[in-house]
Amino acid sequence: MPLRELNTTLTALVEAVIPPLGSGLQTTEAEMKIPLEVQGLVVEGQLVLFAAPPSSRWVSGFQHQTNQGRLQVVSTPTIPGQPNALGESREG
Amino acid sequence: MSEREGFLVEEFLDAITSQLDRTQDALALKAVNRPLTYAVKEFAIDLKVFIQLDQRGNVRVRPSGPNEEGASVMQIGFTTVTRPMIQENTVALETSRSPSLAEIGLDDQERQSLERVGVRNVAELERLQSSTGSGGVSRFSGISVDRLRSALRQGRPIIDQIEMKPRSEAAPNPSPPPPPAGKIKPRVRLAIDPKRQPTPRTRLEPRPVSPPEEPNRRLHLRGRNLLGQQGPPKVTLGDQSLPLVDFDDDHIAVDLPDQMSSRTLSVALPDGEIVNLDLVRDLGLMASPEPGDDESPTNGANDPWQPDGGQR
Repeated sequence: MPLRELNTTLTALVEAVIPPLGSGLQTTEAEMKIPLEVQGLVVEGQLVLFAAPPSSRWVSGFQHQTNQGRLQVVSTPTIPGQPNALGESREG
Repeated sequence: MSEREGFLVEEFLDAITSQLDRTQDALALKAVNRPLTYAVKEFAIDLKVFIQLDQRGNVRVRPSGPNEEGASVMQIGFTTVTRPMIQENTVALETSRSPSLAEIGLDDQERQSLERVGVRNVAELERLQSSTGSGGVSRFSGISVDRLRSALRQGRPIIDQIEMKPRSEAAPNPSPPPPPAGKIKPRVRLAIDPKRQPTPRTRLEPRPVSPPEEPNRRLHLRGRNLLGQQGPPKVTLGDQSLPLVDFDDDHIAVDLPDQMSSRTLSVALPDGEIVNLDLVRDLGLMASPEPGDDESPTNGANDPWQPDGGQR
């Protein structure tokens, strides 16, 4: 499994549901269920979680087992004062 | 800590939280140039792990490796919370200022016993003790009452060093205005000399006290556990409250006024104890003389209490 930190994978997953600029589309909410190969390593004394979608569909004796992950993404307006999907408004 | 030994559950949760925070930060950066950005509202994962207990009784989790059967499934869910929810469900930051159990000399086993009853620092120990009594805490934790009292004494705020420096060493301050011409006042020690005859005085008010060489002195009080849940200690000079110019867990600093109406500095520590310091006795501060002070060679000429009535 190529080592990718969990945040890198999650950011990439969120980016994947964002429509391209100028397409006229807008994603308001997305939910993804994804298999993840998870590994914890100690880096400079701190536990760091690495997680990425499995590199192969085939089950083998040398690949990490997959864990089911669920990610819910919401769009968030960046206009000051307007409440976002979490019900919070951004200070102007 | 290694992958083979497994990780503490809180370490594992911290690691996931840290990754989610970094994800949110990365997504928030996009808001600078886009009218719409995205945020992770919820994240959940079903982790295949092996649960084990270490020698200290801590629960450790180890992600299952390749070709390992029989792993447990730990379901962890994270959701976004608002600021009020954080405040309702977490310990106040003020509580975390309190010394930890290790800092008051409790060993690993004693700490673990207290953590099992929800005590992680001195403030929480004192709170539990005030509601259940020392005997109650002792019964719940298995630590003797004497040991608990001894540990609590270690956690009390204390001042053990007093030091006075010019304010200029800490931060530059405007110099005081020069005294009016022809009225240079020598300074007289307030300490009583047993060989000297007491001089009768007509004024009964406390004499102003000022630092020895120059005004603008800063008093540094050093110790430990000086930041309590209610904040830093409160310092008063007589009836005058002195604002703290600097404070930390082991240090507070106040600026002494140029003219002081009292020689007693009171420090109200976070646990309610009041420490009184005599500025003259403890720090050797001097008093500003009054007009007609006896040690002044010029002013003494008009002192009616001089043996010759001031006229030699």
